[in-house]
Amino acid sequence: MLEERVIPLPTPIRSDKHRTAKGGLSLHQREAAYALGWEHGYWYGQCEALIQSIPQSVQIRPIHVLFVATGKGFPYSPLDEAVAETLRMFAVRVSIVSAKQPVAEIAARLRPDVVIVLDGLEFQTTEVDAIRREGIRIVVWFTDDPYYTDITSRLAPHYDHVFTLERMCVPFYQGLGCQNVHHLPLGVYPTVFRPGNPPRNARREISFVGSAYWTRVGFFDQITDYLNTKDTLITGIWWERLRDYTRLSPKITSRWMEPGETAANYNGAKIVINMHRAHDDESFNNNSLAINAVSPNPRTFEISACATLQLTDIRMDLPQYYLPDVEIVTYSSPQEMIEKIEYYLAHEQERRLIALRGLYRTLREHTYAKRVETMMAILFGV
Amino acid sequence: MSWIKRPRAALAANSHERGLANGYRVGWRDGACEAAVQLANPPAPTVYNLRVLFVPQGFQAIDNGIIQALRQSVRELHVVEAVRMAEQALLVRPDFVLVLNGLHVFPEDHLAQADQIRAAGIRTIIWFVDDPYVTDDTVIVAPHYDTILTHELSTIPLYGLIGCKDVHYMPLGADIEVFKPMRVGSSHMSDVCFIGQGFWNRVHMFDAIAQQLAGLNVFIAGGLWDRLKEYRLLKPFIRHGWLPIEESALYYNGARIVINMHRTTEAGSDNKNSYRYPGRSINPRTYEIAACGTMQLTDVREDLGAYYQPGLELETYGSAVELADKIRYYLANEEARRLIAIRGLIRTRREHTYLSRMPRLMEILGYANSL
Repeated sequence: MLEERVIPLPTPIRSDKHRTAKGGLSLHQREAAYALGWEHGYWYGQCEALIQSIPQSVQIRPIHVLFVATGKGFPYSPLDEAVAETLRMFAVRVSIVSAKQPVAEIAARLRPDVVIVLDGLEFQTTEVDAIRREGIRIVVWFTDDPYYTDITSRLAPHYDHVFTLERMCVPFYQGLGCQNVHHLPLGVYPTVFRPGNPPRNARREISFVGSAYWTRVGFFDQITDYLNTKDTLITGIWWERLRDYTRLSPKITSRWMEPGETAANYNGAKIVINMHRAHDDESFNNNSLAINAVSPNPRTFEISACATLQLTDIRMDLPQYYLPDVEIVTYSSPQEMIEKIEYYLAHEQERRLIALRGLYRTLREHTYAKRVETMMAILFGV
Repeated sequence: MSWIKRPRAALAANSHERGLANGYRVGWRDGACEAAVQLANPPAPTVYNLRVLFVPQGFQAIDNGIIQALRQSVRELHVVEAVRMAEQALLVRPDFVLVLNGLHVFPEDHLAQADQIRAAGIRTIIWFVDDPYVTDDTVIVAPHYDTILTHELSTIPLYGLIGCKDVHYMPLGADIEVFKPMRVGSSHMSDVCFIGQGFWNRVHMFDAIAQQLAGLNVFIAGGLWDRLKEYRLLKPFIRHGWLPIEESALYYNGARIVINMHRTTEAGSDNKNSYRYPGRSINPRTYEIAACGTMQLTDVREDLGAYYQPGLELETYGSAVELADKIRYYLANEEARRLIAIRGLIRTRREHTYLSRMPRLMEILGYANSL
């Protein structure tokens, strides 16, 4: 485990100190450039060594998986790809179809050992039933619980196994008569979300990525003044809902980002804010039973996988995933958020240490590979 | 005057970029090595309830590596010179006497001393680390010991043939007190580094790639290098004579690529191997180079894959052309080069230190009585 230690200040090797400065750059400036390069290199060297130190052992099973992708396109396609690519690490054969294809027909022809449906909101239950009638096991992994439980409640009972990323939904599906229900959080796809060395013009103090749900707007309205004084970047849609939108608008980019771009965004920031969606937020919510959300969102893993300091609000189960103040930092009010941003911008070594520990925990425990390994153990035994 | 400002500004920007890039490269290695050293440590020592007498060979890196490891792994360790090994053994009455190699500088009465220890009922063990290059000598030494350890796979049947009953393969490792990542000054820096004697196979290989090396910053250290056909071309790179291991570690650290080239096993002027046993096992340098967090380009010995994954933790070559190509490739691909270096460092610190060899050594010797 990484121990508390002092990161030494750079002491550049001055092999050229006897020479006079050439090329219009003073010796002092050149040393400053060297020192800055050293700082960046030192940090990413640490991250890379940490990544390389994690043993990669994957048990590939002699099974054929038919994977049914969400069929929803962006922004779900990266999730489809991450899970499909990860399944390939664990099964000797993986066939991939979309929820919009005649999956039952394909399954009857291919006779896979299991059909794994991701999300399943676009997948007809008649197809599910037809596959089961063929004697082929079919499982679903719900990725948006609890926000669509009005719909998923009608889907879940058709499957042999139900996996949900939200722990609070396990008793819910069990109550609907589902026999095999498992809590399986989403994770991170480290091929995309990993530390990098962003160009200097992409480096910022604070970043937030996400849509402006009304609960978030209410929160951000209280810290607009503060964020305005900082090197802040907010990326996402609907932010014109902010009370002081015009003042903050130079710091807002209104669009969706590809995962690679999101990763670069996280990488460029010293602190990345995570704010979970409220389980009862009125925008696009199909959770009329108001099932509470206690599990961290996938973004939690993605931010930490980029080795940046994550400042997150607290979901009840968060400490099971990351130790607060050790691997992640939390806030529960606008005031606390501001205090912690101030603290970690002023305490770089502590910031880095927490970021490194967060990366370490993520790669050891919160990758899609770890999740799929768990799923395989449930479906096929250890 | 703007015409004069523009090029100066461009020069300044250029110089700034260079400074950043240089800093980044050094910083990356410093950060990565530091993290690797923190994260990848040998397992905690197991302590055995044994009294051991160790006789070093005079191979500093191996002797000290084993001494440090034994010191942490046995209840009582005595290190004695070869001239007094029998006298001390009879005095100390250890569970066993472990002799490293027993060649070269060992006294003339070495074998008589070994017999004397054995006659006193004390177990004698010799660990050969020069096999198969000196089998003419080791076959004379081996029958005087109860247990034979060798780092070389190919010579195991040889000792059986001459009547030794208890013969085992026992690999070497790295002394990570000496061979460790360090930041070095520019005088120790190079693109390509090779340290070792100019045995003929090595000389032929360097002659073959001399033209390409001539344009690089190269460091070669060792004896016999005046054998080179291309001596005049490579002369500026050569430092003649023996290099102390602490110096070697500095040069390994400062190099972008360190070449490892096993000696030929041919009998003849460089070797005492008239039985022509092949070399199937890697040399200790393999571990030592990797332990410095530097990328290694090595020729392939049969057991290499058991210790390092080629292409991931080090790189290999099978010919002069491949060696030259890979030098060119890895000097141009900094990212690939440094990842291999860091993986090699991590693997070495986790699995190939002398301390991590100890449980295996004790198991081979039949001791399970850990404290």
